Amino acid sequence: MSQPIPPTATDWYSFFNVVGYTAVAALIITMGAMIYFVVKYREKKGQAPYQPERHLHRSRARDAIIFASISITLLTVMSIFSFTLTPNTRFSPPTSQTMIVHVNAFQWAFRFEYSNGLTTINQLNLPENTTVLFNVTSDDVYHNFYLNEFRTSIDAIPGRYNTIWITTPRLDGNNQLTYNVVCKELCGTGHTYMFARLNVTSKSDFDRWLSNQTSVLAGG
Amino acid sequence: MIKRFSIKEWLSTTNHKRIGILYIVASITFMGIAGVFGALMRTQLATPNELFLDPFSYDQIVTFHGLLMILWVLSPLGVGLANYIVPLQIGAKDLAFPRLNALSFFTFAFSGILLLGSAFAPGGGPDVGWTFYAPLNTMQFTPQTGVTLAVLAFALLAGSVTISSVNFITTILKSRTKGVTWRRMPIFTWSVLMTNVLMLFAFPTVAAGMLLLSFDRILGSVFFSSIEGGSILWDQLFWFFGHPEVYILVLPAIGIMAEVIQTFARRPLFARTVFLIELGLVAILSQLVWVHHMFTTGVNYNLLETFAITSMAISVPFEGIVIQLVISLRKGRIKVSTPLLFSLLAIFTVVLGGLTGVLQAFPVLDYVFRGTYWVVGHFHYVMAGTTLFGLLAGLYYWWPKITGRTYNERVGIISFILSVIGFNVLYFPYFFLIDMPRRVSTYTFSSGLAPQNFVATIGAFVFFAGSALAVLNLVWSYRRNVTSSSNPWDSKELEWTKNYTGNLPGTPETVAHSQRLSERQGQSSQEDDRAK
Repeated sequence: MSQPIPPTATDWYSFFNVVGYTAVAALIITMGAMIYFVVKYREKKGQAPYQPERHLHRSRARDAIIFASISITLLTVMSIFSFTLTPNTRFSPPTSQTMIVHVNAFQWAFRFEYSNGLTTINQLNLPENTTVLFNVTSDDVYHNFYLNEFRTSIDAIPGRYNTIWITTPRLDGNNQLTYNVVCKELCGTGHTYMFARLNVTSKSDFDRWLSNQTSVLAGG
Repeated sequence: MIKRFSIKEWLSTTNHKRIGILYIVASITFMGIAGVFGALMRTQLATPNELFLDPFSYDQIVTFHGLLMILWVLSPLGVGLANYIVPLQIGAKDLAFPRLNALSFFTFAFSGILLLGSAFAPGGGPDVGWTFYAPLNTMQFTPQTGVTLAVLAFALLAGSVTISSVNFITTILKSRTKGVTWRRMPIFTWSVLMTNVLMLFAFPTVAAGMLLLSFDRILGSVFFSSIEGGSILWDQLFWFFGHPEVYILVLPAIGIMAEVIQTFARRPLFARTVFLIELGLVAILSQLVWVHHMFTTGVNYNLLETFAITSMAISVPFEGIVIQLVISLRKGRIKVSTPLLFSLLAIFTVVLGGLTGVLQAFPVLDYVFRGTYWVVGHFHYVMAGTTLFGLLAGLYYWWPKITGRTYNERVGIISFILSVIGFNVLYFPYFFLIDMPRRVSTYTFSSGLAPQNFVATIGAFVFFAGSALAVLNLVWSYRRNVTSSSNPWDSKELEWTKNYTGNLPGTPETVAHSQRLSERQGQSSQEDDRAK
């Protein structure tokens, strides 16, 4: 099941790796020092009796300040990096050529409404290589609209409209790509079973599906 | 120590030592119940498409596990130790208001029983998670009486906490004996003081929230059921309390870790004054980060960036605390025993839990982590790790003081090893479950979440056995009946060095004191005597 990583998720992964590896390095250094000190300075058998006065040492405020400034520098660099990333991936789509889909979460499913009035439940069909803006709200309780493979999410809150956008990947020879839409906020007994499918198809397939469904709806 | 067991005496006591023991026993009892709930959850999640628990029961168990562990186990266990130890560390006769102390214990115990009783209410128990998100918490979506009872239990607990924090703050400010100056006050007492100041600031909002919610549920008001802003109002009220609560749990454990490390490494804490300033900074900053729980609610972008910065800023003093604890081991003469091992384990979990927390402070990452098992892993490392192991270290450390008995060192080390393995096998796989939402009662096989969950369940049982063994070891020490000496660890702290019943005459010999003595070549004690 090797689906292509959606383009909006690649930024996320690269930032996650930078911060993640820094964290792993910090963990190894601290824990390494701790284990080294415990092993080296542990009380061994046959040692000379312990003399308290030899083990007193002075307060070293200077050293503590040095440690603090190292971590402040690291955090500043990474947070500037993260803030340049945040608005790009969240707030304004890079193009005005976006497709808009309204998302209404309710107990316990997602309802998607396309710009021509077509409504689907738990099935989100999108054309490939398109920027899509979601307008997310809820009919009843607090939900979350989580596109886990796209590495983004937003809360679906009653009385409030939140927006996020994604760019769908290219098909690259596949017939259709399938991703998950998950609710990750406890919303009642059906929370476990609240998920939808996101299908990415070619632009022509998508247009055909949209017009077929709409005409079925209009004819019915 | 205790002549004859009399229930009447224990129920009518206002003695800080006895109330401390009551707090410890009650919270460990609640821990047993909440631990069984945790084990049930892991059993349900061991295999995909499992039908051992239905979603409604599972949601109730999730709610009870969270509420009990956070508010009725970890917090009161720290309060219990503080009750016993703080008056001894500052040379006070008792807490400032002994009767209020009894009142806060019995309010706490009653609220816990009320919460557990809510499981048997008509229509079932609370199934809204420990966060009670609006509007799921209103009558329209959860009509069962159980939720109302849980809300009332929470409000009562907030009352109990407020009473006890007023008591502790007054005691530490006013009842210190001559010679226990701010600089000489032991670190555990400092951490308890900061914890209680935090409690006094954090709990009123949640108490107000719970009262408004009970008005909604009983009287039919519309604070949280209104479409316009009800959810966000609850988020603000709850998380203004909810985030400091994490630090309320962690700070006493940090205080204990510092005490244990300086006792067993036989070396004063590295840069003690800086350590205390950092504790204070953590306490202040912890009140200024709550919006990071609301990054995905569509908050104003400037607000989001501001709270991302404060959330990262809080990691700087915390990192200082951890580095100083580690450096305090250097050039010591380390006596490796159970309290020290649990403290070291708590350092490991606070580093890992803290670093994953820094990752969550970045909004772009938090959009994904929020509400997934990554977050569950993160806060279990901090709470089930640092707080629980720190408090266990404190329980082992002060056990000879509290009971006069020696525990079995070998069993203690076995329980430590089981805890290390079980804890990490249980919670480390959670960092590979970013695709799994929290509080789901099952998952499908095709989602690729099965191996991590199966491994975590194995870890859960090992961890359960380890922590049960750690507690049983202490209980067994009663049957073994090996009496301990009055200061088995050669500690320099006041609660060990003086065996007294009332206020201390003269200047007590604390670690901070002897540290200052060595700094100023004996001048400080003369200065202090002159000042008095």
